[in-house]
Amino acid sequence: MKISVYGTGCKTCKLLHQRVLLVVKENNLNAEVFYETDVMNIAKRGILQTPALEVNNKIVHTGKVPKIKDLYNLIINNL
Amino acid sequence: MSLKTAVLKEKILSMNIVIYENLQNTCNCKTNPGQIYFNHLTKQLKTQGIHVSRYDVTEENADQMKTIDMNSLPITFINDEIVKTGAYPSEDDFNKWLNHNHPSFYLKNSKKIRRAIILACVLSLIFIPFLIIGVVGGLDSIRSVFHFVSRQIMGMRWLNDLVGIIFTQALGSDFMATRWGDALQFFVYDTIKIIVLLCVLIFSISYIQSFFPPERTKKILGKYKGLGANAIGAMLGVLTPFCSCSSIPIFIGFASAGISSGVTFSFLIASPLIDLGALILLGSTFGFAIAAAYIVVGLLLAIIGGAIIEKTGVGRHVRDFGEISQINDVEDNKITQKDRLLIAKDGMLTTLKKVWVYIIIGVSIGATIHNFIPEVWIQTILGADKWYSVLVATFAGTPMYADIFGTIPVAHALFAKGVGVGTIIAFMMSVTVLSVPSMVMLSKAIKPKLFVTFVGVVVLGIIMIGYMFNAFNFLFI
Repeated sequence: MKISVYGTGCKTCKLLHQRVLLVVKENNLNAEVFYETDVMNIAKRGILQTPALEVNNKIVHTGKVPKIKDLYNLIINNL
Repeated sequence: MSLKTAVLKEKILSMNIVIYENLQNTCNCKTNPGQIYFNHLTKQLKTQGIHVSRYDVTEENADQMKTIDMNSLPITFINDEIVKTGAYPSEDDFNKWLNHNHPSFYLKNSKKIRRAIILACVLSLIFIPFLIIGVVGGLDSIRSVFHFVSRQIMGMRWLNDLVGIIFTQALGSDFMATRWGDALQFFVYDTIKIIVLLCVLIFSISYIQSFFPPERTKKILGKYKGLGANAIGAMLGVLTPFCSCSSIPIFIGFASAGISSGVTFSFLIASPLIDLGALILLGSTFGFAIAAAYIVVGLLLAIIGGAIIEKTGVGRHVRDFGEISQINDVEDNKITQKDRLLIAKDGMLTTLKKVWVYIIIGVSIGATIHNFIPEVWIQTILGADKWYSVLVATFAGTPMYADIFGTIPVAHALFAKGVGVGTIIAFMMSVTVLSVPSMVMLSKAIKPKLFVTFVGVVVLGIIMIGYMFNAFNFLFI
Protein backbone atom coordinates (compact mmCIF):
# COMPACT_ATOMS: atom_id res chain seq x y z
CA MET A 1 0.00 0.00 0.00
CA LYS A 2 1.14 3.51 -0.80
CA ILE A 3 0.07 6.53 1.23
CA SER A 4 1.08 10.06 0.26
CA VAL A 5 0.66 13.27 2.20
CA TYR A 6 0.67 16.46 0.14
CA GLY A 7 1.47 19.75 1.84
CA THR A 8 3.68 22.76 1.38
CA GLY A 9 5.21 22.40 4.80
CA CYS A 10 2.76 24.40 6.83
CA LYS A 11 1.88 23.32 10.34
CA THR A 12 -1.28 21.42 9.43
CA CYS A 13 0.49 19.50 6.67
CA LYS A 14 3.19 18.33 9.07
CA LEU A 15 0.55 17.34 11.57
CA LEU A 16 -1.21 15.20 8.97
CA HIS A 17 2.07 13.53 8.07
CA GLN A 18 2.76 12.72 11.72
CA ARG A 19 -0.73 11.35 12.24
CA VAL A 20 -0.48 9.14 9.17
CA LEU A 21 2.82 7.74 10.42
CA LEU A 22 1.25 7.14 13.81
CA VAL A 23 -1.77 5.33 12.40
CA VAL A 24 0.41 3.15 10.17
CA LYS A 25 2.73 2.27 13.04
CA GLU A 26 0.07 1.61 15.68
CA ASN A 27 -1.95 -0.65 13.43
CA ASN A 28 1.03 -2.40 11.88
CA LEU A 29 -0.17 -1.50 8.40
CA ASN A 30 2.03 -2.58 5.57
CA ALA A 31 2.32 0.82 3.97
CA GLU A 32 4.89 3.14 2.50
CA VAL A 33 4.30 6.76 3.51
CA PHE A 34 5.46 9.55 1.19
CA TYR A 35 5.49 13.24 1.96
CA GLU A 36 5.31 15.57 -1.05
CA THR A 37 6.21 19.18 -0.27
CA ASP A 38 6.95 20.60 -3.71
CA VAL A 39 4.17 22.97 -4.54
CA MET A 40 4.41 22.37 -8.29
CA ASN A 41 4.03 18.63 -7.83
CA ILE A 42 1.07 19.21 -5.53
CA ALA A 43 -0.57 21.41 -8.12
CA LYS A 44 0.16 18.92 -10.88
CA ARG A 45 -1.65 16.24 -8.94
CA GLY A 46 -4.79 18.41 -9.28
CA ILE A 47 -5.00 19.25 -5.59
CA LEU A 48 -6.57 22.58 -4.71
CA GLN A 49 -6.42 22.49 -0.95
CA THR A 50 -3.59 21.35 1.26
CA PRO A 51 -3.04 19.19 3.22
CA ALA A 52 -4.22 16.33 1.05
CA LEU A 53 -4.09 12.59 1.65
CA GLU A 54 -3.67 10.02 -1.09
CA VAL A 55 -4.18 6.30 -0.54
CA ASN A 56 -3.33 3.95 -3.38
CA ASN A 57 -3.36 6.73 -6.00
CA LYS A 58 -6.71 8.07 -4.90
CA ILE A 59 -7.11 11.41 -3.18
CA VAL A 60 -9.26 10.65 -0.17
CA HIS A 61 -9.12 13.83 1.86
CA THR A 62 -8.27 17.50 1.32
CA GLY A 63 -8.32 20.76 3.19
CA LYS A 64 -7.88 19.79 6.78
CA VAL A 65 -6.39 17.31 9.20
CA PRO A 66 -8.80 14.50 10.11
CA LYS A 67 -8.95 13.13 13.65
CA ILE A 68 -6.88 9.99 14.22
CA LYS A 69 -9.97 7.77 14.30
CA ASP A 70 -11.31 9.24 11.06
CA LEU A 71 -7.87 8.99 9.51
CA TYR A 72 -7.73 5.30 10.36
CA ASN A 73 -11.11 4.74 8.68
CA LEU A 74 -10.05 6.75 5.65
CA ILE A 75 -6.97 4.61 5.18
CA ILE A 76 -8.67 1.27 5.92
CA ASN A 77 -11.65 2.00 3.67
CA ASN A 78 -9.41 2.85 0.75
CA LEU A 79 -7.07 -0.10 0.89
CA MET B 1 -53.72 23.63 -18.25
CA SER B 2 -53.63 22.85 -21.93
CA LEU B 3 -55.44 19.85 -23.29
CA LYS B 4 -52.18 18.10 -24.03
CA THR B 5 -50.80 18.38 -20.49
CA ALA B 6 -54.16 17.37 -19.07
CA VAL B 7 -54.09 14.23 -21.16
CA LEU B 8 -50.53 13.50 -20.12
CA LYS B 9 -51.33 14.01 -16.47
CA GLU B 10 -54.29 11.72 -16.80
CA LYS B 11 -51.97 9.14 -18.33
CA ILE B 12 -49.57 9.36 -15.40
CA LEU B 13 -52.31 9.18 -12.83
CA SER B 14 -53.72 6.11 -14.52
CA MET B 15 -50.34 4.40 -14.50
CA ASN B 16 -50.45 1.16 -12.64
CA ILE B 17 -47.40 1.01 -10.38
CA VAL B 18 -47.03 -2.28 -8.54
CA ILE B 19 -44.25 -3.42 -6.28
CA TYR B 20 -43.70 -6.93 -4.99
CA GLU B 21 -41.54 -7.01 -1.91
CA ASN B 22 -40.55 -9.15 0.99
CA LEU B 23 -41.54 -7.22 4.08
CA GLN B 24 -40.32 -9.87 6.49
CA ASN B 25 -36.68 -9.21 6.22
CA THR B 26 -34.59 -12.09 5.20
CA CYS B 27 -31.56 -10.60 6.81
CA ASN B 28 -31.43 -10.15 10.53
CA CYS B 29 -31.26 -6.42 10.37
CA LYS B 30 -34.31 -4.81 11.88
CA THR B 31 -34.97 -2.22 9.26
CA ASN B 32 -33.93 -1.97 5.69
CA PRO B 33 -32.81 1.61 4.91
CA GLY B 34 -33.94 1.32 1.31
CA GLN B 35 -37.37 0.31 2.50
CA ILE B 36 -37.70 3.20 4.93
CA TYR B 37 -36.75 5.60 2.21
CA PHE B 38 -39.24 4.00 -0.14
CA ASN B 39 -42.03 4.31 2.43
CA HIS B 40 -41.29 8.00 2.52
CA LEU B 41 -41.25 8.18 -1.26
CA THR B 42 -44.63 6.50 -1.69
CA LYS B 43 -46.15 9.01 0.73
CA GLN B 44 -44.73 11.81 -1.36
CA LEU B 45 -46.09 10.29 -4.54
CA LYS B 46 -49.49 9.95 -2.91
CA THR B 47 -49.65 13.70 -2.29
CA GLN B 48 -49.37 14.08 -6.05
CA GLY B 49 -52.16 11.63 -6.70
CA ILE B 50 -49.93 8.75 -7.76
CA HIS B 51 -50.78 5.52 -6.06
CA VAL B 52 -48.28 2.73 -5.63
CA SER B 53 -49.66 -0.72 -4.91
CA ARG B 54 -47.42 -2.79 -2.69
CA TYR B 55 -47.69 -6.53 -2.25
CA ASP B 56 -45.93 -8.47 0.42
CA VAL B 57 -44.90 -11.83 -1.02
CA THR B 58 -44.75 -13.41 2.42
CA GLU B 59 -48.45 -12.86 2.88
CA GLU B 60 -50.35 -15.53 1.12
CA ASN B 61 -52.16 -13.74 -1.60
CA ALA B 62 -51.22 -16.25 -4.19
CA ASP B 63 -53.48 -14.94 -6.89
CA GLN B 64 -51.45 -11.73 -7.03
CA MET B 65 -48.16 -13.51 -7.27
CA LYS B 66 -48.34 -14.50 -10.92
CA THR B 67 -44.90 -15.65 -11.87
CA ILE B 68 -42.24 -13.59 -10.21
CA ASP B 69 -38.67 -14.40 -9.46
CA MET B 70 -38.43 -14.57 -5.68
CA ASN B 71 -34.67 -13.99 -5.78
CA SER B 72 -34.81 -10.56 -7.31
CA LEU B 73 -37.23 -8.87 -4.94
CA PRO B 74 -38.33 -6.13 -4.74
CA ILE B 75 -39.70 -6.01 -8.26
CA THR B 76 -41.36 -2.93 -9.68
CA PHE B 77 -43.98 -3.11 -12.43
CA ILE B 78 -45.43 -0.22 -14.36
CA ASN B 79 -48.46 -1.18 -16.45
CA ASP B 80 -47.47 -4.85 -16.14
CA GLU B 81 -43.98 -4.20 -17.40
CA ILE B 82 -40.93 -4.88 -15.21
CA VAL B 83 -38.96 -1.65 -14.78
CA LYS B 84 -36.69 -2.47 -11.87
CA THR B 85 -35.62 -5.54 -9.96
CA GLY B 86 -33.42 -6.21 -6.97
CA ALA B 87 -33.78 -2.80 -5.36
CA TYR B 88 -36.41 -0.28 -4.44
CA PRO B 89 -36.86 2.44 -7.04
CA SER B 90 -35.24 5.72 -6.10
CA GLU B 91 -36.54 9.22 -6.52
CA ASP B 92 -34.46 9.51 -9.68
CA ASP B 93 -36.07 6.38 -11.08
CA PHE B 94 -39.52 7.83 -10.54
CA ASN B 95 -38.48 11.10 -12.06
CA LYS B 96 -37.26 9.24 -15.10
CA TRP B 97 -40.37 7.14 -15.50
CA LEU B 98 -42.80 9.94 -14.83
CA ASN B 99 -40.83 12.49 -16.75
CA HIS B 100 -40.87 10.10 -19.66
CA ASN B 101 -44.56 10.79 -19.91
CA HIS B 102 -44.69 14.39 -18.96
CA PRO B 103 -41.71 16.72 -18.62
CA SER B 104 -43.07 18.97 -15.88
CA PHE B 105 -44.17 16.21 -13.60
CA TYR B 106 -41.21 16.00 -11.29
CA LEU B 107 -41.32 14.74 -7.78
CA LYS B 108 -41.15 17.71 -5.52
CA ASN B 109 -38.40 17.70 -3.00
CA SER B 110 -40.26 18.23 0.24
CA LYS B 111 -37.03 18.94 2.13
CA LYS B 112 -36.25 21.92 -0.09
CA ILE B 113 -39.74 23.29 0.39
CA ARG B 114 -39.47 22.93 4.16
CA ARG B 115 -36.15 24.72 4.14
CA ALA B 116 -37.58 27.54 2.04
CA ILE B 117 -40.47 27.93 4.49
CA ILE B 118 -38.07 28.13 7.45
CA LEU B 119 -35.96 30.70 5.62
CA ALA B 120 -39.03 32.77 4.81
CA CYS B 121 -40.14 32.64 8.46
CA VAL B 122 -36.72 33.77 9.70
CA LEU B 123 -36.54 36.59 7.16
CA SER B 124 -40.02 37.80 7.98
CA LEU B 125 -39.24 37.64 11.70
CA ILE B 126 -36.31 39.95 11.04
CA PHE B 127 -38.13 42.34 8.74
CA ILE B 128 -41.56 42.57 10.35
CA PRO B 129 -40.31 44.40 13.49
CA PHE B 130 -38.55 46.88 11.23
CA LEU B 131 -41.75 47.35 9.26
CA ILE B 132 -43.77 47.92 12.43
CA ILE B 133 -41.21 50.38 13.78
CA GLY B 134 -41.16 52.08 10.42
CA VAL B 135 -44.94 52.42 10.27
CA VAL B 136 -45.24 53.62 13.86
CA GLY B 137 -42.25 55.89 14.15
CA GLY B 138 -41.36 56.81 10.59
CA LEU B 139 -37.98 56.67 8.90
CA ASP B 140 -36.13 58.32 11.77
CA SER B 141 -36.89 55.55 14.20
CA ILE B 142 -35.62 52.93 11.73
CA ARG B 143 -32.43 54.90 11.49
CA SER B 144 -32.08 55.05 15.25
CA VAL B 145 -32.60 51.29 15.52
CA PHE B 146 -29.85 50.74 12.95
CA HIS B 147 -27.72 53.17 14.87
CA PHE B 148 -28.34 51.26 18.09
CA VAL B 149 -27.51 47.92 16.45
CA SER B 150 -24.34 49.19 14.85
CA ARG B 151 -23.14 51.07 17.94
CA GLN B 152 -24.16 48.84 20.81
CA ILE B 153 -24.51 45.33 19.42
CA MET B 154 -22.00 45.28 16.57
CA GLY B 155 -19.76 48.03 17.93
CA MET B 156 -20.13 46.86 21.52
CA ARG B 157 -19.85 50.35 22.97
CA TRP B 158 -21.36 49.05 26.19
CA LEU B 159 -18.26 46.88 26.54
CA ASN B 160 -16.05 49.94 26.27
CA ASP B 161 -18.08 51.62 29.02
CA LEU B 162 -18.00 48.48 31.13
CA VAL B 163 -14.22 48.11 30.77
CA GLY B 164 -13.90 51.78 31.67
CA ILE B 165 -16.03 51.39 34.80
CA ILE B 166 -14.20 48.26 35.95
CA PHE B 167 -10.77 49.86 35.55
CA THR B 168 -11.90 53.06 37.25
CA GLN B 169 -13.10 51.02 40.20
CA ALA B 170 -9.95 48.91 40.34
CA LEU B 171 -7.24 51.43 39.55
CA GLY B 172 -8.83 54.73 40.46
CA SER B 173 -10.10 57.49 38.22
CA ASP B 174 -6.80 59.39 38.39
CA PHE B 175 -4.93 56.59 36.65
CA MET B 176 -7.65 56.13 34.07
CA ALA B 177 -7.40 59.79 33.13
CA THR B 178 -3.74 59.33 32.08
CA ARG B 179 -2.72 58.07 28.65
CA TRP B 180 -1.65 54.76 30.16
CA GLY B 181 -5.13 54.23 31.52
CA ASP B 182 -6.65 55.20 28.22
CA ALA B 183 -4.29 52.88 26.34
CA LEU B 184 -5.17 50.03 28.70
CA GLN B 185 -8.87 50.57 28.13
CA PHE B 186 -8.37 50.69 24.34
CA PHE B 187 -6.30 47.52 24.47
CA VAL B 188 -8.69 45.47 26.60
CA TYR B 189 -11.82 46.70 24.87
CA ASP B 190 -10.49 46.18 21.35
CA THR B 191 -9.04 42.75 22.10
CA ILE B 192 -12.23 41.43 23.68
CA LYS B 193 -14.41 42.96 21.01
CA ILE B 194 -12.41 41.59 18.10
CA ILE B 195 -12.09 38.13 19.59
CA VAL B 196 -15.80 37.85 20.45
CA LEU B 197 -16.90 39.10 17.04
CA LEU B 198 -14.31 36.90 15.39
CA CYS B 199 -15.63 33.75 17.06
CA VAL B 200 -19.24 34.45 16.15
CA LEU B 201 -18.38 35.54 12.63
CA ILE B 202 -15.87 32.87 11.71
CA PHE B 203 -18.31 30.25 12.92
CA SER B 204 -21.12 31.45 10.69
CA ILE B 205 -18.77 32.18 7.80
CA SER B 206 -17.07 28.79 7.91
CA TYR B 207 -20.56 27.35 7.77
CA ILE B 208 -21.35 29.29 4.59
CA GLN B 209 -17.94 28.46 3.17
CA SER B 210 -18.46 24.74 3.65
CA PHE B 211 -20.80 25.01 0.66
CA PHE B 212 -17.99 26.32 -1.55
CA PRO B 213 -14.86 24.15 -1.45
CA PRO B 214 -12.32 25.15 -4.14
CA GLU B 215 -13.16 22.00 -6.12
CA ARG B 216 -16.74 23.16 -6.46
CA THR B 217 -15.71 26.73 -7.24
CA LYS B 218 -13.56 25.37 -10.04
CA LYS B 219 -16.53 23.50 -11.44
CA ILE B 220 -18.81 26.53 -11.23
CA LEU B 221 -16.28 28.89 -12.81
CA GLY B 222 -15.65 26.54 -15.71
CA LYS B 223 -19.18 27.22 -16.93
CA TYR B 224 -18.90 30.98 -17.37
CA LYS B 225 -17.13 33.30 -19.79
CA GLY B 226 -16.57 37.03 -20.26
CA LEU B 227 -16.94 39.85 -17.78
CA GLY B 228 -19.74 38.03 -15.97
CA ALA B 229 -17.25 35.26 -15.23
CA ASN B 230 -14.92 37.82 -13.66
CA ALA B 231 -17.75 39.00 -11.42
CA ILE B 232 -18.63 35.45 -10.41
CA GLY B 233 -14.94 34.70 -9.86
CA ALA B 234 -14.63 37.72 -7.57
CA MET B 235 -17.73 36.76 -5.60
CA LEU B 236 -16.67 33.15 -5.23
CA GLY B 237 -13.30 34.49 -4.11
CA VAL B 238 -15.11 36.02 -1.17
CA LEU B 239 -16.91 32.79 -0.35
CA THR B 240 -14.18 30.22 -0.96
CA PRO B 241 -11.84 29.64 1.95
CA PHE B 242 -8.17 29.35 1.12
CA CYS B 243 -4.89 30.45 2.60
CA SER B 244 -2.02 31.98 0.65
CA CYS B 245 -0.10 28.69 0.68
CA SER B 246 -2.87 27.21 -1.49
CA SER B 247 -2.78 30.01 -4.03
CA ILE B 248 -0.46 28.21 -6.47
CA PRO B 249 -2.34 24.91 -6.49
CA ILE B 250 -5.54 26.87 -6.99
CA PHE B 251 -3.99 28.99 -9.71
CA ILE B 252 -2.67 25.99 -11.61
CA GLY B 253 -5.80 23.95 -10.97
CA PHE B 254 -7.99 26.71 -12.37
CA ALA B 255 -5.72 27.31 -15.36
CA SER B 256 -5.64 23.63 -16.26
CA ALA B 257 -9.42 23.44 -16.01
CA GLY B 258 -9.64 25.98 -18.83
CA ILE B 259 -10.69 28.87 -16.61
CA SER B 260 -9.32 32.06 -18.14
CA SER B 261 -6.47 33.86 -16.43
CA GLY B 262 -8.59 36.96 -15.90
CA VAL B 263 -11.20 35.07 -13.93
CA THR B 264 -8.52 33.35 -11.88
CA PHE B 265 -6.97 36.70 -11.03
CA SER B 266 -10.36 38.17 -10.14
CA PHE B 267 -10.67 35.26 -7.73
CA LEU B 268 -7.15 35.69 -6.34
CA ILE B 269 -7.58 39.43 -5.77
CA ALA B 270 -11.02 39.24 -4.19
CA SER B 271 -10.32 36.34 -1.89
CA PRO B 272 -7.97 38.00 0.61
CA LEU B 273 -9.35 41.48 -0.01
CA ILE B 274 -12.93 40.94 0.99
CA ASP B 275 -13.20 38.75 3.98
CA LEU B 276 -16.78 38.41 5.19
CA GLY B 277 -15.76 38.46 8.84
CA ALA B 278 -13.47 41.41 8.43
CA LEU B 279 -16.26 43.29 6.69
CA ILE B 280 -18.57 43.07 9.64
CA LEU B 281 -15.74 44.06 11.94
CA LEU B 282 -15.06 46.97 9.61
CA GLY B 283 -18.72 47.91 9.81
CA SER B 284 -18.72 47.78 13.57
CA THR B 285 -15.68 50.06 13.78
CA PHE B 286 -16.35 52.55 10.99
CA GLY B 287 -20.06 52.22 10.30
CA PHE B 288 -21.87 50.23 7.68
CA ALA B 289 -21.73 52.85 4.92
CA ILE B 290 -17.96 52.42 4.76
CA ALA B 291 -18.18 48.64 4.95
CA ALA B 292 -20.69 48.54 2.10
CA ALA B 293 -18.54 50.89 0.02
CA TYR B 294 -15.52 48.69 0.79
CA ILE B 295 -17.28 45.62 -0.64
CA VAL B 296 -18.35 47.44 -3.79
CA VAL B 297 -14.96 48.93 -4.62
CA GLY B 298 -13.18 45.72 -3.58
CA LEU B 299 -15.29 43.67 -5.98
CA LEU B 300 -14.82 46.27 -8.70
CA LEU B 301 -11.05 46.17 -8.23
CA ALA B 302 -11.09 42.38 -8.50
CA ILE B 303 -13.32 42.36 -11.59
CA ILE B 304 -11.56 45.17 -13.43
CA GLY B 305 -8.09 43.97 -12.42
CA GLY B 306 -8.85 40.49 -13.73
CA ALA B 307 -10.34 41.89 -16.93
CA ILE B 308 -7.30 44.11 -17.60
CA ILE B 309 -4.92 41.19 -17.12
CA GLU B 310 -6.93 39.13 -19.59
CA LYS B 311 -7.67 41.79 -22.20
CA THR B 312 -4.08 43.02 -22.47
CA GLY B 313 -2.95 39.48 -23.14
CA VAL B 314 -0.35 39.37 -20.38
CA GLY B 315 -2.47 36.69 -18.73
CA ARG B 316 -0.86 34.13 -21.01
CA HIS B 317 2.52 34.56 -19.35
CA VAL B 318 2.22 31.71 -16.93
CA ARG B 319 5.03 29.28 -16.35
CA ASP B 320 4.97 25.90 -17.99
CA PHE B 321 3.45 23.43 -15.58
CA GLY B 322 3.86 20.32 -17.67
CA GLU B 323 1.35 17.54 -17.38
CA ILE B 324 -1.44 18.25 -14.94
CA SER B 325 -3.69 15.61 -13.53
CA GLN B 326 -7.23 16.21 -14.63
CA ILE B 327 -8.55 13.16 -12.90
CA ASN B 328 -11.07 14.58 -10.54
CA ASP B 329 -10.81 11.88 -7.96
CA VAL B 330 -11.12 14.28 -5.09
CA GLU B 331 -14.44 13.05 -3.87
CA ASP B 332 -17.37 15.37 -3.89
CA ASN B 333 -18.40 13.82 -0.64
CA LYS B 334 -21.85 14.62 0.56
CA ILE B 335 -21.63 16.47 3.84
CA THR B 336 -24.39 16.53 6.35
CA GLN B 337 -25.64 19.42 8.46
CA LYS B 338 -23.68 18.03 11.41
CA ASP B 339 -20.49 17.93 9.36
CA ARG B 340 -20.98 21.55 8.36
CA LEU B 341 -21.35 22.61 11.98
CA LEU B 342 -18.21 20.64 12.84
CA ILE B 343 -16.37 22.31 9.96
CA ALA B 344 -17.59 25.66 11.24
CA LYS B 345 -16.33 24.91 14.75
CA ASP B 346 -12.95 23.70 13.47
CA GLY B 347 -12.71 26.71 11.17
CA MET B 348 -13.36 29.04 14.09
CA LEU B 349 -10.74 27.42 16.29
CA THR B 350 -8.03 27.20 13.62
CA THR B 351 -8.59 30.78 12.49
CA LEU B 352 -8.51 31.99 16.06
CA LYS B 353 -5.27 30.09 16.69
CA LYS B 354 -3.80 31.54 13.52
CA VAL B 355 -4.76 35.17 13.92
CA TRP B 356 -4.71 35.89 17.65
CA VAL B 357 -1.07 36.95 17.44
CA TYR B 358 -1.92 39.45 14.70
CA ILE B 359 -4.83 40.73 16.74
CA ILE B 360 -2.67 41.31 19.82
CA ILE B 361 0.07 42.98 17.74
CA GLY B 362 -2.50 45.03 15.86
CA VAL B 363 -4.27 46.12 19.01
CA SER B 364 -0.95 47.02 20.67
CA ILE B 365 0.06 49.17 17.72
CA GLY B 366 -3.42 50.64 17.71
CA ALA B 367 -3.26 51.46 21.41
CA THR B 368 0.17 53.06 20.95
CA ILE B 369 -1.04 55.20 18.08
CA HIS B 370 -4.20 56.01 19.98
CA ASN B 371 -2.46 57.36 23.05
CA PHE B 372 1.25 57.98 22.63
CA ILE B 373 1.98 59.17 19.12
CA PRO B 374 1.23 62.87 18.79
CA GLU B 375 -1.62 63.64 16.45
CA VAL B 376 0.55 66.19 14.64
CA TRP B 377 2.98 63.52 13.45
CA ILE B 378 0.26 61.35 12.04
CA GLN B 379 -1.49 64.36 10.56
CA THR B 380 1.72 65.42 8.79
CA ILE B 381 2.30 62.02 7.21
CA LEU B 382 -1.17 60.65 6.72
CA GLY B 383 -3.50 63.63 7.21
CA ALA B 384 -6.56 63.75 4.99
CA ASP B 385 -5.40 67.04 3.49
CA LYS B 386 -2.01 65.66 2.41
CA TRP B 387 -2.04 64.53 -1.20
CA TYR B 388 0.67 61.94 -0.64
CA SER B 389 -1.01 60.21 2.33
CA VAL B 390 -2.60 57.50 0.20
CA LEU B 391 0.71 56.74 -1.53
CA VAL B 392 2.53 56.46 1.78
CA ALA B 393 -0.15 54.16 3.20
CA THR B 394 -0.22 51.92 0.11
CA PHE B 395 3.53 51.49 -0.24
CA ALA B 396 3.98 50.97 3.50
CA GLY B 397 1.28 48.31 3.48
CA THR B 398 2.29 46.37 0.36
CA PRO B 399 5.22 44.32 1.71
CA MET B 400 3.58 43.73 5.08
CA TYR B 401 1.85 40.51 5.84
CA ALA B 402 -0.97 40.62 8.33
CA ASP B 403 -4.41 39.27 8.68
CA ILE B 404 -7.15 41.80 8.06
CA PHE B 405 -8.26 41.30 11.64
CA GLY B 406 -4.92 42.61 12.80
CA THR B 407 -5.13 45.71 10.63
CA ILE B 408 -8.50 46.81 11.94
CA PRO B 409 -7.38 48.07 15.37
CA VAL B 410 -4.55 50.00 13.69
CA ALA B 411 -7.07 51.46 11.27
CA HIS B 412 -9.39 52.23 14.18
CA ALA B 413 -6.68 54.21 15.97
CA LEU B 414 -5.62 56.05 12.80
CA PHE B 415 -9.25 56.93 12.14
CA ALA B 416 -9.55 58.45 15.60
CA LYS B 417 -6.49 60.60 14.86
CA GLY B 418 -8.20 62.16 11.87
CA VAL B 419 -6.62 60.13 9.06
CA GLY B 420 -8.78 60.07 5.92
CA VAL B 421 -11.01 57.05 5.26
CA GLY B 422 -9.44 56.51 1.84
CA THR B 423 -5.94 56.45 3.32
CA ILE B 424 -7.00 53.86 5.88
CA ILE B 425 -8.73 51.68 3.31
CA ALA B 426 -5.70 51.87 1.00
CA PHE B 427 -3.53 50.75 3.90
CA MET B 428 -5.81 47.85 4.83
CA MET B 429 -6.17 46.67 1.24
CA SER B 430 -2.46 46.77 0.49
CA VAL B 431 -1.60 44.91 3.70
CA THR B 432 -4.09 42.12 3.06
CA VAL B 433 -3.85 41.58 -0.71
CA LEU B 434 -0.14 41.93 -1.30
CA SER B 435 2.65 40.75 0.93
CA VAL B 436 6.19 39.51 0.41
CA PRO B 437 5.38 35.83 1.21
CA SER B 438 2.41 35.68 -1.16
CA MET B 439 4.33 37.46 -3.91
CA VAL B 440 7.23 35.01 -3.63
CA MET B 441 4.73 32.15 -3.92
CA LEU B 442 3.02 33.64 -6.93
CA SER B 443 6.26 34.44 -8.77
CA LYS B 444 6.87 30.68 -8.92
CA ALA B 445 3.73 30.16 -10.97
CA ILE B 446 3.70 33.17 -13.27
CA LYS B 447 6.33 34.85 -15.45
CA PRO B 448 7.80 38.26 -14.51
CA LYS B 449 5.75 40.20 -17.05
CA LEU B 450 2.46 38.93 -15.69
CA PHE B 451 3.72 39.26 -12.14
CA VAL B 452 4.61 42.92 -12.61
CA THR B 453 1.28 43.59 -14.30
CA PHE B 454 -0.60 41.89 -11.47
CA VAL B 455 1.18 43.84 -8.74
CA GLY B 456 0.93 47.06 -10.75
CA VAL B 457 -2.79 46.72 -11.42
CA VAL B 458 -3.53 45.97 -7.79
CA VAL B 459 -1.36 48.77 -6.38
CA LEU B 460 -2.77 51.31 -8.85
CA GLY B 461 -6.29 50.17 -8.08
CA ILE B 462 -5.75 50.53 -4.35
CA ILE B 463 -4.29 54.02 -4.79
CA MET B 464 -7.25 55.07 -6.92
CA ILE B 465 -9.69 53.67 -4.38
CA GLY B 466 -7.85 55.54 -1.63
CA TYR B 467 -8.13 58.87 -3.42
CA MET B 468 -11.75 58.21 -4.29
CA PHE B 469 -12.69 57.53 -0.68
CA ASN B 470 -10.80 60.59 0.51
CA ALA B 471 -12.58 62.73 -2.07
CA PHE B 472 -15.96 61.47 -0.89
CA ASN B 473 -14.96 61.53 2.76
CA PHE B 474 -17.90 63.72 3.68
CA LEU B 475 -20.35 60.99 2.67
CA PHE B 476 -19.14 58.63 5.38
CA ILE B 477 -18.47 60.78 8.41
